[in-house]
Amino acid sequence: MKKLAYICAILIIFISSILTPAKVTAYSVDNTLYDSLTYKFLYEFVNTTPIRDACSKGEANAIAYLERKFHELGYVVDVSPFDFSYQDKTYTSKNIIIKSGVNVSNKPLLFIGAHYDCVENSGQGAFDNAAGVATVYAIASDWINNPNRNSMPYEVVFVLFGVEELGLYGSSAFVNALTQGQVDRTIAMINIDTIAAGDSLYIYTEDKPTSYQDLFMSISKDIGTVKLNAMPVAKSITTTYWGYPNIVPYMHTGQLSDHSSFRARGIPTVMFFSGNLSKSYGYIESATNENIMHTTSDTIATLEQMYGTEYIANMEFVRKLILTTITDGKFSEVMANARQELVNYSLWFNSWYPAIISAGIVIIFCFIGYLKLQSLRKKAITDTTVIKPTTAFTKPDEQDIFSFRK
Amino acid sequence: MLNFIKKDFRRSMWIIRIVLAIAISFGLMFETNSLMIFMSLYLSQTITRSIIFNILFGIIAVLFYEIFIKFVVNYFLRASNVYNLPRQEIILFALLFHIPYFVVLGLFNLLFFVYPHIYLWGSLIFPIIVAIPCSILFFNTINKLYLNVQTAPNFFKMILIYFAVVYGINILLAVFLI
Repeated sequence: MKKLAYICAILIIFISSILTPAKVTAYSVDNTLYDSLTYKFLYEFVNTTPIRDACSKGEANAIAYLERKFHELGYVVDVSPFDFSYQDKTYTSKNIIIKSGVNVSNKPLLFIGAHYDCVENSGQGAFDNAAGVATVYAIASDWINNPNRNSMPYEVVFVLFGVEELGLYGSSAFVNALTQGQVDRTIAMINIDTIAAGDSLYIYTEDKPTSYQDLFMSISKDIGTVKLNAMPVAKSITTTYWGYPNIVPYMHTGQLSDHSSFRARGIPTVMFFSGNLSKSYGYIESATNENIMHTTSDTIATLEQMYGTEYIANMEFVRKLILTTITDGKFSEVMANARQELVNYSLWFNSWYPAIISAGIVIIFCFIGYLKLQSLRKKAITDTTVIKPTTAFTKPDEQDIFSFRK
Repeated sequence: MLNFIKKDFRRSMWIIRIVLAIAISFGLMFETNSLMIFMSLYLSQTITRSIIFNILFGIIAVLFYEIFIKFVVNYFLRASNVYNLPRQEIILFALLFHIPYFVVLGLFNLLFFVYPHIYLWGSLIFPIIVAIPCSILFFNTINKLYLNVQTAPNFFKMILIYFAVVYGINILLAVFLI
């Protein structure tokens, strides 16, 4: 009985050590960050439209709010409706496309985007993804005030996507509406999704190193306020979920946002997100804090409680990083070759090629095996049979087998 | 090594079961972790849970493998018209040669952690490349220990058929399901 109690106690301690929720850790506070544009916009946005789940009244309010805010900056705002089917019903939502209004029909395009919707009952959706929208807003504000923007070799288009949470419907509709000419002219799509909470900030471009990721990484070191990490892709891969959004035979954290719709059409993409991919196998937000994504705790108050002002630092960092990188002289040069660096989906994700190679190997092996079989058969006819012992093992022997316990 | 294994059947069987469980845990580590992430739908996965899940998967896989191999070996021996061989010992050797198979496959599968985009190719080609030398080694060992010139061709033929059927189905599934 005592032994059983000990075993139970050890088991309980062991299981509870695995299942115990993480503790909340204090993070640094920098009060100057409350004056930043990203924070001001985030605060106003989530308090004006805290509910933004797909096709709700809150979503309509959010669209009207965002349309007004970007229009006030001096942009031409196009609210583009799209239909999508979800659980056998058809709904309508809207993407918000923000252009500077300059007629640049032949210029290469650079899309910078974030989704503005959030899941139902997710607090204010501050982390996912009001923070992304706030960062896009701050970049747009800086960009329109940049006197050199018209001389840049590309046109920046900001896009706020609807219905990301139900399956990237907004970005899919947007990309599908692009002509092949526009797709060919697009140099990159930069996506900002869930960058506020979490222990680390990550960048993801491809399932292999790329020169444009290196450029972002190198500029991030010069900025230095937040450490940017290259996403360790294979740490969060699941191969059993065949394709989300149906373009690759596996899924990982880096694919789970709107840029994947662009990548599916062969456009180079850059994705920023935060979380923790070092203390676990797979994605968690934080090793020390509770996950807040898609929970009622996704509010500014929780972000402050868990991360101090680091969530604002993240937004400000991404804002600065993107602006510095896209205005860097090397950017156009690097992006000009970006398509050649993409993983070749038609080669690597087409099962016919490895199937043909595998079939070839099997056929060759079976053919060589058949030749060997013929020689064995020939030997069987010519040679005399050698009787071998029926067992190769020395124990149990006859004595073991035929002895009985006393 | 073969002499050590041949000494005591029961001890060898247990050693092989344990090592095979570890080999499967390693060999299918990428797949197991993927399955674990899929099952928990991106909730937190601590490294402790990952290791426990891998080991549990290895143990369960050994149980299934043993049942499967018993069935296959019984069928093999019947189809090869070889009736006087010790089935349990053949099963032991069949399990034994799954150890290098999973270890080498695991080494190949480590590439997926660095270059995940080769997963589709690797998941089809790597098992075949690894299975060929393991099958040859298995046949040579069984041939050396138990078979004679009359029974060897039949046993070899069954290995060839098994190989062609298993990997043929694997290839067809890949083409039509993916």
